[in-house]
Amino acid sequence: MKTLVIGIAGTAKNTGKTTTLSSILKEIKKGPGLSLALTSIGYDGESFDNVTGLPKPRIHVRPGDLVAVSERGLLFSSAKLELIREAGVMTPMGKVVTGRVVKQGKLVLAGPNNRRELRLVLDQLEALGVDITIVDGALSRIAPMVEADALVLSTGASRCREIPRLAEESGCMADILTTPALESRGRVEQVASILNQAGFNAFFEKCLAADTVRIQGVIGEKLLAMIADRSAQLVGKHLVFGDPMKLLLAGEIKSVHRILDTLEKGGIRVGVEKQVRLLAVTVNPYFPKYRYNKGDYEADYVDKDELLRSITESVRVPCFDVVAQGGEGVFGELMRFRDSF
Amino acid sequence: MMVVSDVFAHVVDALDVETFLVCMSENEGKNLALTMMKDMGFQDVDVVFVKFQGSGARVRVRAYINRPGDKYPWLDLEDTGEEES
Amino acid sequence: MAKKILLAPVDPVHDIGLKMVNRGLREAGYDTVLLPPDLSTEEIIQAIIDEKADTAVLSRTLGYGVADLLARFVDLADAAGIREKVRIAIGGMAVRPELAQELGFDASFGPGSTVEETIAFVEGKEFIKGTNLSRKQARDMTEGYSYKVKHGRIGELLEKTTDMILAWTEGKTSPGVERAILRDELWDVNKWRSGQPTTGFFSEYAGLCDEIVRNYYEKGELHPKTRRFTDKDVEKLRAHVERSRVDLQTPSIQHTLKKPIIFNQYGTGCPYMDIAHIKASEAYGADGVVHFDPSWGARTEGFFDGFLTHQEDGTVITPDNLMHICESLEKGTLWQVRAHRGLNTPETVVLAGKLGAHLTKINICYGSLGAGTEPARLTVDGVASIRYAAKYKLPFDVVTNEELCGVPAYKAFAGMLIVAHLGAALGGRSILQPLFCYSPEVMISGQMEDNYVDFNAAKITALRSIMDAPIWPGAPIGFLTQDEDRVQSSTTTALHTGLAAMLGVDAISIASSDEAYSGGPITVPSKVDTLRSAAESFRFFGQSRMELGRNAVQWSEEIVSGIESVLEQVVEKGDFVQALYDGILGNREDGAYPGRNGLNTVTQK
Repeated sequence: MKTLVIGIAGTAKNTGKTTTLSSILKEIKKGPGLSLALTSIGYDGESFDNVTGLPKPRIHVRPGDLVAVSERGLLFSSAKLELIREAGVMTPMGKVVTGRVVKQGKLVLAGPNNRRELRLVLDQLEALGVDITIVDGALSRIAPMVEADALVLSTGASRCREIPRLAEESGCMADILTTPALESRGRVEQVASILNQAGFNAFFEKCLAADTVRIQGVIGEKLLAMIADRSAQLVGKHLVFGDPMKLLLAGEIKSVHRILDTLEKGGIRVGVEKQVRLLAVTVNPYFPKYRYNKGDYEADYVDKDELLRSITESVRVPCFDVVAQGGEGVFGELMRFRDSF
Repeated sequence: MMVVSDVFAHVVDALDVETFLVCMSENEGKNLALTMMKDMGFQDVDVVFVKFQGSGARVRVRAYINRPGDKYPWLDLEDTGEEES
Repeated sequence: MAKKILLAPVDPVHDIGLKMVNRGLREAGYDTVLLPPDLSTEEIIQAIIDEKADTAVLSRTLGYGVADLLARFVDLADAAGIREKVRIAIGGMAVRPELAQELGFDASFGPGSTVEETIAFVEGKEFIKGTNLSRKQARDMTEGYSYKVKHGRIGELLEKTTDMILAWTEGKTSPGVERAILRDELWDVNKWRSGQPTTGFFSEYAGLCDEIVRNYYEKGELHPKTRRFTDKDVEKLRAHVERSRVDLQTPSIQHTLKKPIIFNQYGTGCPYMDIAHIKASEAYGADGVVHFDPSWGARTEGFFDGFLTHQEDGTVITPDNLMHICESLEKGTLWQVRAHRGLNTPETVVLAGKLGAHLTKINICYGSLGAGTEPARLTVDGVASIRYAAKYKLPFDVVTNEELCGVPAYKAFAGMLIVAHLGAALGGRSILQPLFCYSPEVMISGQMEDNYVDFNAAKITALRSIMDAPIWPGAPIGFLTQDEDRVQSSTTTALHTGLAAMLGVDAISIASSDEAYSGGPITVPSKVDTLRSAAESFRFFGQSRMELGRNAVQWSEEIVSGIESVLEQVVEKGDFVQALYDGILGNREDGAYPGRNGLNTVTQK
C-alpha cells in the first residue's frame, strides 16, 4: 500500500502543531503496529522558543521509527539513529539524513524545508516502505504541504486572541484549503505568477482570449481584487490555480475569501489542479503574552471550551483540542482517511 | 549543597557577581559581598576582588558551583530518553 | 556560467551588512543586484523573477512579528515556484541556523559570517564552519631558525659549556633516566591504547618508583588526593566533547598578523574540567594549551596510571589523563606537556612524545635553582630529556622562571642559552622563553618605574643579537603586573600582548584574569576575558609599531654583556653542576637555591 503522507500545518508559531503531532504519535503507538516516518519542514526541538523564550514541547520517538532530519539537530537529540542514507538535501542545520531509531528518546525535528526537497525526501521514505509519514510544519508556512496527501491544521490563540475573529478566519481558511479541483476546458492559457500590474495585464489579455487560464504561481491580493473588479468581462471563465496553498498565500485570509466569493458570485469558476484533503483542525488556547514591564513573554490562555465550540461551528471539518481530549479524535480521522485511500 | 535549580547545571565552574556596594571600608564591602551571595543561596563563596574607594567598594565575588574533582551536572544534561507522561 | 545574486534588505532602511556583502561579492567577480529597502514581499519575488537571479540573500533585523513576515516570503517564493531554481539565504544580527531552518531558508548568515561563506553558498558548496574559517594547522614555530650564535665570544663559550655538560653526563644515569628508558623501549603505546597488557614494562617500572607509586602498581592504591573516573564518566565526557565540536568556529586572535601564537594554560586538577577549559580556550581562539601538573608530582619518582582526578592545583600526569586530554583537542591545537623540573623529566618527554604532544619544556637551570630539583640530577635528566625531545621531534621551550625568584635576567638568560645551545647540539629544537614580568630584579633596580615596555623589549633585542632562535615570552606574559581586578588584569594582558606582537615574537602564553587570585581554581570566564582582550589588542594595533624609549638599547647591551660575563665564569669553573651550586647562574642573594629533590640519585651506568 502506498505511504500515507500527513502534513501538520500551523497558522502561526505556538498553535500546537508539535503537541498535535505528539498526540498522533501516541495513538499510533497504541495501535496495531503501523510503521511510521517523521520529518519536518521547519524546526521544533529547542527547549525554549527561539523568539519568546517560553518552553516548547519536543518529539519523542521509539525504536523502529524512521526519520529524515537535519544532522545538527541529531547532535542535540537523545534518541539514537541507525543511519540509512543521506537524503541529498542541505539545510541551514546541515545535511538531511534518513535513519531508523534504535534508541528511544527526544528528537530535534528539522528537515527539508521547501517543496522540492520535501518531495525528494518523501519519495525516499516511501521507497523504504512505511505506512504513514508525518510532516511537521513550521510557523504558518504551508507551501510545501501540497506534497502531503492530507492535512491537519493547527490553529489557536497564538494566531489571534479574539475567539470570534479567529473562528471566522479559521472558517475562511478551511474553505480556501478545500477549494475543489477544477478541470481545464476549451482554450487553455497559462501564466506564471501575478505579482504586479504588468503581470496582471498580461494575465488579463490571456484571460479575455481563453476559456481557462492556469495560474501556475502565486497572485498578490490587490491583483486578485482587480480580477474581481473586472469580473464582468470574465464571466464563465475557469481560473485554475496550482493548489489551494497558493490562494491562501495571496493575502489576508478573510479578504481573499471575500474576493473569491465575489468571483464566484460574478460567474467566474475558481478551482485548483491539486486538491487538498483537510482532515481536521486542532485548536490551542495558549498564547504568549508580551509583558511590557519585563520585556519578555509569559504563558496565557483563552477559554478553551469556547474556543473549541466556536471553531467547530465555523469550519466544516472535525475539530479537536488534543490537550483536553487526547489525540484519539484526530487519529480517528487519519485512519478513516487511510481506509478510503 | 548548591542552589537547587536546573539552570545551574549549565555552569561549568563558577558564577561571578560584580557590583559596587555603598559602604565605609574595604572590610565592610567584603562582608556585604559575601552575605549577598549567601543570601542568594550560594555556599562556596569567596571575594576575588575588592577595592574601596570614595563612597563604596567595587567587588567581584565568586560562587563556585563546581570545583575540580566534583561530579559535574553539565555532563548529565542530555536526558535519558524516557517519555514523559 | 557566473551566478547572479540578488540582495534584498527587508528592513525599512538599508542594511550595512548587506552592502558589505554586496561589495565583497562584486569584488569576487559576481553579478549582483542590490534592491532598495522597504519593498514588499511580492516586489522582491518579482525582482528575483525579473532579474533571473540564481541566489537571493535577504537581510532583516529580527523582532516579534518579523518571523511571520519572513516565513510568508519564503512560503510565497516556494508557491511561486522560484524555490526550484533559486537558493535563498537570510542574514542579520540575530539570525541563527535554527531560525533560518524554521523560516524555510536554505542558509543563514549570522553575526561573524564572511564573504567566503556567502560565496560557498552561492556556488552550492558545503561550507562547514570551523573547517573553512581560519582552519588552524598545528604550526611548528621553530621552523626556519638556524640556532646559529651571532655573537662571536658567546658562541665560543656556549660551545665549551655544551662540551662540559656532555662530558660530565657521560656514563651517568638516574632513576628518572632508567624509567624513561623503560617507557621508551618497553611501553608500547598502541598496545596500551587498545587495552592490551604491557606487563614486561610494569614489573621493572614499579621497582624504580617511590613507594607511593609502587603501591599503586602492586596494590592498586591511589594517591590520597586522587580519584579514578568510571567508564560511564568517560562516555559522558566523550559526548560532551563531541557536542562542543559542532559550533566550533576558531577565530584568529591575531587579526592581520600571523604571530605570536597564543598559548593558554590548563591544570585545574581534574582532566574533565580541564577539557571544558580547553574547549573554551580553543573556542575563543587559543592556538595552544599547556599542561600544568601538581608540584607533588615533580617530587615523586614515577608516574601513576589511570584516568584520575585530583583535588588541588595541577592535573596529575598519567598516560590515561594525557590520552583523554589529547583526544579532546581540536586537530590544529598545539599541546605542550612540560618537563622542566622534578624527578620525572625525561619520562615526561617520552610520554609526551608517545601520546601526541607537540611541545615540551626543558630547563636545567631553572629547574634546579628555582624549582627544587637537585642540580646534578636535573643535569643528567635534562640531557636525557633533550635527547628524547630530539628523538620524538618535540620542540621545547627553555623558560627563565628563575627571574621570578629574583635572579637577574642576564643570569637567567645565560642559563637558558646554555640549555638552548646544548639542545641544538643534540638535534633538538629549542625555543627561548624569557619572561615579560614585573620581576624582583626590576622592582629593585627600577627598569620598570616608568613603563613595562622598554625592559621587555631590551630582553628580546638582546636575545636576538645572540642567537637565531624562536622566542616565546611567558610565563604568562605580564606576570606580577596583574591584580585581582578583572579589567586591570585583562588590560595588562592585552597591552603586553600588543608589545609582544610588535616585537615580532613567535608565541606568547597568556594568563586568565584570575591570575592574581589565589583563593580557588581559575574559571572559564576568566580565561575568556584575557583571550578577548588579547584579540582586541591585535585589532587595535594591527601592524603598527611602537617607538621604544631611550633605555631599551642600553639595557639590551647590558644584558648581552651580562650574559657573556656569566658564561665566562661558568666556563672558568669548568663544571656546570658546580657552577649551579656556586650560584653563578643565580645565587642565594638573588633568591635562587640549588634544589634537593633527587639528591644523591645520580649513579654510574
